Amino acid sequence: MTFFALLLFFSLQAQQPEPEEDFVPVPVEEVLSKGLEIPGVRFVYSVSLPSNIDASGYALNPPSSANLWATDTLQFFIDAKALQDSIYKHHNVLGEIQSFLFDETISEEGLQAYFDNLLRNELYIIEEAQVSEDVNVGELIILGNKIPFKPFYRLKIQILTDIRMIILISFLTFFVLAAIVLVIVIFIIKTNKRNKDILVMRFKDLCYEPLSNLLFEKSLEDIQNMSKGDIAGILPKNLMHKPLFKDVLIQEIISLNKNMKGDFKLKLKLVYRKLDLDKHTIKKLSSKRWDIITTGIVEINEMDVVEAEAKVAQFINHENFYIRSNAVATLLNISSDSDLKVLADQKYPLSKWQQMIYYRIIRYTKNNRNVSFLLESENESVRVFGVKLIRYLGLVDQLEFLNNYYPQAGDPEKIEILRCFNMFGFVESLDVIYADLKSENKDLVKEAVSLIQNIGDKISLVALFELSQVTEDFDIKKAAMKAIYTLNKIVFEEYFGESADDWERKICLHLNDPVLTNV
Amino acid sequence: MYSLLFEILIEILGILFLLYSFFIIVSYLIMTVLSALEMRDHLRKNKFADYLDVVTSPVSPSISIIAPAYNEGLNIVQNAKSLMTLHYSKFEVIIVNDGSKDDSVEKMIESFDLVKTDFAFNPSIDCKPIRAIYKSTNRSFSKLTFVDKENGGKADALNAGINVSTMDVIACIDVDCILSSGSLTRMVRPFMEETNRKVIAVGGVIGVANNCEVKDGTVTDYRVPDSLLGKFQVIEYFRSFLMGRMAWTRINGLMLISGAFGFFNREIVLKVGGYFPQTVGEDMELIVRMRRYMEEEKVPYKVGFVPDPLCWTEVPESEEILSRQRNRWMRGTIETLQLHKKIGMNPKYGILGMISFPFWSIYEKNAPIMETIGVIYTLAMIITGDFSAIYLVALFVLIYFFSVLISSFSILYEQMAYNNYKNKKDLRSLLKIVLLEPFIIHPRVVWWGLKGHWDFLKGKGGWGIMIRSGFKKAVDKQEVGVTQN
Repeated sequence: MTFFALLLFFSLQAQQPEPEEDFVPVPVEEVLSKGLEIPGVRFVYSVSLPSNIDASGYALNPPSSANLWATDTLQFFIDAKALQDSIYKHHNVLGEIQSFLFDETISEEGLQAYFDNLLRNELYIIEEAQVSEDVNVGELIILGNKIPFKPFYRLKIQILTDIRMIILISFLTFFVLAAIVLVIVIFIIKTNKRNKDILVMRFKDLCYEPLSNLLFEKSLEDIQNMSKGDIAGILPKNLMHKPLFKDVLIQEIISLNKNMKGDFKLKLKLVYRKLDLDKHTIKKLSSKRWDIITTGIVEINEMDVVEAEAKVAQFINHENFYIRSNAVATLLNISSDSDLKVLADQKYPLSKWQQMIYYRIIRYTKNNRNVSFLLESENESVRVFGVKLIRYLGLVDQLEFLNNYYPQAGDPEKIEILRCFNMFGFVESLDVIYADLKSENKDLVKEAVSLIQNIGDKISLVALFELSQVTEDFDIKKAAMKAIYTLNKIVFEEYFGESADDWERKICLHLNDPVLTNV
Repeated sequence: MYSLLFEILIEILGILFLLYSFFIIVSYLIMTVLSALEMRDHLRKNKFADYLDVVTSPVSPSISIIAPAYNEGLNIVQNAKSLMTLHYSKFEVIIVNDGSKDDSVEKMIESFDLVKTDFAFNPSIDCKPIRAIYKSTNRSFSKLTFVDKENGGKADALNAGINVSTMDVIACIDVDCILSSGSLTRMVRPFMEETNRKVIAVGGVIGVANNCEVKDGTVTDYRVPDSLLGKFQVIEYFRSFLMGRMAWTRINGLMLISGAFGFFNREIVLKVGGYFPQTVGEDMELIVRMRRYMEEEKVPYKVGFVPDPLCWTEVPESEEILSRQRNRWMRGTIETLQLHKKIGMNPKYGILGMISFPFWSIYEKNAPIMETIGVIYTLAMIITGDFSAIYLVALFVLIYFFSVLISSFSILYEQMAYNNYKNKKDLRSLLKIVLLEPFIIHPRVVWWGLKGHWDFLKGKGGWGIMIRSGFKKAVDKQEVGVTQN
């Protein structure tokens, strides 16, 4: 497009007609009478005098005929005029001044036309000083110098009339302002972070020795008998009111608590409470920042601040994933809720991450193993997690419930229940399982096949064979054939040994390959 | 009249360039803020994550690591061993030999006691014939599967690996990448955390390993490369990963996950038909197709990104190799956008169609062309005399400082988030490159991009007709056979 525009510009510029220019006509006599020279124009003065008059004294050439005296060619009109005036004065004869243009005689009209052309084409410029006799050149220069210089095209005008320039300067201003704001923000954040890091390191150093002394030099009873002032006296007094110092102290206590056992844990918790750090922790729950609330919840969990249970309970269905995950984890840990109701009441679906955390807590909390409320939860993901817990924790007493529940369970639950049955080798009737071999859910069919493979009987072979023949899914066919192979190799060879089907042939080879036994 | 037309054209072009520049600047400033917010949240979230649990938890998803290898005989054994020592309980390593002409197969067989098996798999994704699938007779290497196939390119090798894989999540990586031992636990976290949306893929940061000290498969001492191009790529990777992708993640608009280190939901990958081997930008194309599929099926989804330094690779320091890489990236971008042109500015595709796709089309794909036209325009204006020196200086200052600002921020992000490059000499060296880059390296990058456009127009490497006509639906790829290549 640019090239096109440029091409257009250059080609069309060439075709444009020359514009006519205006000029102010000046009478040629006016110019000549001021003693100015017009290029190419010369003058000859001639006069007829009586024969007795010798005009050679006037620089006139002697007459060749008819007593006509004439000058040489004169450059200035005023010279010819002066001569004419002088002759007239002394001899009362006027004579004639003739104009020549490049040695050719020219009339007055012709001379005027020639002069106009010179002016029009700017070949002859009449200077003001030359034209005006009234103005003194020197005065004009002095006057001119007194006026301050003002350029005709000012930069300001040029910028303000150029739209691109206005836009560009606006962008530049916007960009510079945005950049400055960003730089300032980043600088502030970086400085704060650096200062905080330095302070945290310093506070850590200051906490380490007093905490070690309390742990290793004082008994649990000693610490119990100590007042808040006594313990605070060991620590830097002037820093105890600083929230950051308290945070560092709590983190140090938690860190030690994780790595210690027995009395040391009790000592640390005692120090934590004696210093009223639990109040500092609980205060965090009122923060507007999700990460501070979560930190508070984690601290409550680590330090077993049971009195904060009610406050933490407010967060179990919080919209923020981290707040609610940690709130539930904390309640599972510190509350006496052995029925896991906190989990059962979850409104949001449980993610695998949450399941991982809750499983770890439940696994190490011996009292919390009653999963029946989970299995009755309105939240499907909670019910699925409940079934998983039965499998992970080996809660065989729940298998009967699962068996009864199975027919009305949803697919995700069925898959988990089948895994559970598979693990414990338990199922009262395979009939309901066979029904699921016709499900459209591939994962469910595969789990059902896997269960049948482990606990199936002769009737199962028929169901599996039927499945292997009707399915168009390679993975299901492979699972079904593997199940038949496991249940009865002879039947398997009979059915599939000579199969011409490409998939079946490949699966046969796979199943018979000793290296792939566990694949 | 004609002169007026020219003036109007010049004005319009000038304003268009200004608007283009303005929107780039605004976009990048917004991205800077978004990435900062995302990084802040990520670092805060990291405080509450216990990754040790992930390693052993029965709830954690299983992972198939797929690493295609072509003529990697020199390091293939070491790299496979390194992959098998990653900290995770349920994972398999599938090394796919893509018809190497060196001794890769022999070395693998010898080192891992491999034997040819009759491994039966579902060939749901079309790929070049597989010669053999090997498993080890040594139980120590039970996690390893070695696939030997005919040469078909990286995407084809990955497709073969996907066919053989059996786990929930597939991790596609370059076999020469160095992975941190905790990389798997961190990368599966987004898959595990999400409650209301399906996480279809998770991308990770690739670090520049040139000149770094590596110990036990992890970079222990970060140093910037010696060469100019190496240093430039360090900054470019910061910009791309810590700023660009973090910002896109913030609005769930990420359209590219690096082919060297990407994790995918296997179920969705199979549904869309795996990688499309006929494009040179297979990594981007797969993500766009997966996203498109989810939008068409109206299933809530998310593409995650983990900014922690977990994977490192050697970047090319030779101009020739780098130019080829950039040419390929540009062609890949054009091909992907061409294949999925239907989603551009289509509200049905949400953020993907209305923000990510137009952004890539305007700024990533067309940037070299726009920059070149801008330079020609400026030169033309100077030649014709219709150009203000103030305008030129202002424009230059704007562009230069913008470039410096963005690059500096990316370094600052790295410093604030991870602070891996602790040596002040290295930092000074990077800052020097930030100042020089717009003059020395950027013009070359633009040139390589232009060559990419040119090569695309010539039909180099791609699959002309199919790419030009594009996919009508995300699942259309399944109808495309590899044999047509």
